[in-house]
Amino acid sequence: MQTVVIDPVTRIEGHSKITIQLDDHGMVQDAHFHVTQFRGFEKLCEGRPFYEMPALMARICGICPVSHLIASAKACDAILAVRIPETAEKLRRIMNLAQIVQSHALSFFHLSSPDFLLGMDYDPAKRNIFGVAAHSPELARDGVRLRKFGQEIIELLGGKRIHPAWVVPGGVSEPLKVEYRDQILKSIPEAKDIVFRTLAWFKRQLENFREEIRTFANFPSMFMALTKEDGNLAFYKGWLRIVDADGEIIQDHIDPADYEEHIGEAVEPWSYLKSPYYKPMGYPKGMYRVGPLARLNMAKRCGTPLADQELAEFRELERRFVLSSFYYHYARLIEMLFAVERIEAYLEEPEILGKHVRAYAGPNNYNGVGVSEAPRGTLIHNYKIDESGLIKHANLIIATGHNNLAMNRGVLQVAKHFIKGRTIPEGMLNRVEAVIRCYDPCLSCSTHAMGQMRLHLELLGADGEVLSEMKR
Amino acid sequence: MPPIVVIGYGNPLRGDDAIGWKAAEALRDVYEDDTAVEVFASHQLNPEMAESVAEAGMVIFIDAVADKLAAGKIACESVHPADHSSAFSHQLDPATLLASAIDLYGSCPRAALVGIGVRSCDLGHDLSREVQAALPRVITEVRQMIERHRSGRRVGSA
Repeated sequence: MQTVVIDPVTRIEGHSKITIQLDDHGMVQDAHFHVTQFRGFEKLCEGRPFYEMPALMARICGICPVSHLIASAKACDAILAVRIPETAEKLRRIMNLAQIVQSHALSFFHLSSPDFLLGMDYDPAKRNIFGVAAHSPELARDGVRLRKFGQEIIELLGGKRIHPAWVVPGGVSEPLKVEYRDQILKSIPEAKDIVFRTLAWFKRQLENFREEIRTFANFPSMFMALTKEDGNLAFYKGWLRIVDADGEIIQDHIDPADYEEHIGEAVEPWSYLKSPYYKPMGYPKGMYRVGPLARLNMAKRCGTPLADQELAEFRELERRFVLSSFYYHYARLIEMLFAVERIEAYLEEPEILGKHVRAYAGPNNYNGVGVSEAPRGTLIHNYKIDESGLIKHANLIIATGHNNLAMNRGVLQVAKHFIKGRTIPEGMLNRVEAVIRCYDPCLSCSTHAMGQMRLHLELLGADGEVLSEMKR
Repeated sequence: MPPIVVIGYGNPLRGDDAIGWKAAEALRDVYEDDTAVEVFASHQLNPEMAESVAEAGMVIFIDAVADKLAAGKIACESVHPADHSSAFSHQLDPATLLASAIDLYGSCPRAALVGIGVRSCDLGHDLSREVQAALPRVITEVRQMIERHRSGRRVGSA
């Protein structure tokens, strides 16, 4: 038996490695995606006052601090037992959508577009954003502009683009200034143009990736996401829905506060990333996927005109649910279009400039759950406090964690398809990495850890010997 | 005249690593009414800065330097665009940011790095005594570089 090791996995956020086990005939027998970093934020915050949690939790990640702010503040709202002012909720929604745009833009343009534009087999030294800039400066500029659009909204609302402390228990700390609203509205047309241009370009590229579409984590699975009461796309608030691979609803209208009744978390010895599963189906059969693909698969509609047109076309990709994880990239583009449209709509409502943006209360509950849709999927924060309002227990289930089982299965599927024998072309290993990038994992978030991007891929022989190794 | 861009970066929670950030915040106050000077205080350099860099007449980076300088020592050097070998995603150094400005927008200005030697970058809000003492000198140095640029003299030679 032989093992291939990819270590570290590149163009993702965080530290990980992939091992691929070969049998005596050089055929792939098994594969694992290992997350090799650990930080333990859940333990770090024990003993802290609950109202510090949003600011503390935002430190989990420099890519998606806003997602943690939102889920954390919602958990604190539940502890306060307050209904936050309508203006505050809309402002939080805008910030959450801006986060979707900036994070999806990073994933699509900076991390994955080198594969789409230059090809999976292109020279790895040039298969990066500089290669994209050299071949298609407009595409690279669009990526930078679109991410900047999202980040500037976060900065205008929150005072800074990374770790803003504007979202607080009970609402937000400051109302929106009229000049900031106008500044954001002015930037909407360009953002829409960029997403449209990129959607048109990406749809033309799909023909070149038929094999990847067919083999990149393309299998039946359950999906989970928040949906609105009417079944439409939800990012801030809604009910949890679980559907099967045919689109049949397995369970609907799950109160996010009851997540523990439905979601279990398994631990494997080879990874610091837990493996959440749908409890009624058991482990590991209860595998499900979250994130852009899940959200678009199960939403009745997006709820904005342009995104709904794109969603209709997206639905034509496959006869029933869209199952190939390669289409996560496509779904990200549609979600960015939705986010830009929705931000514009919220900003055009007069009450968005309202001054009442925060509700005040002391702790009224010992337990609070906050759930929102982060760029990578459903994000759950759950805090338990003592009589003094200090955190006794915290549980975080991060989007990347939900996808852990699916990512592992995807790595195995891709490895089986593309790796044959002891000698492995770099382009084949890149495909093993690329299936992970479909999910845009944020390992800093999911293990609540910090670190640089690294990839380590190992090819192990039947006797456990390391036959081939790749580190970046 | 194209604007002058000042970018001070570092982690404000990691002791002396915050010197770039803190210097930028102080310079932002100094140039509050000067629209020809744009000051960024940031955790790290990012690709979104490339456009501002490309449009600038000069860029001054301010950053903590580990190992090469004694704590509180200041060194200024010119920065040139890097070649494109890094597998960059969302983290950059000054030379790579300059290169990305050329790739994306066709130009990059003259640039200099003001480096400050550190005592400790362990967790904490406070600068060490040496680096705290260097902060006013960093401000003065950057102000002089800006004045030299405005009067047509070279930067990066202090």
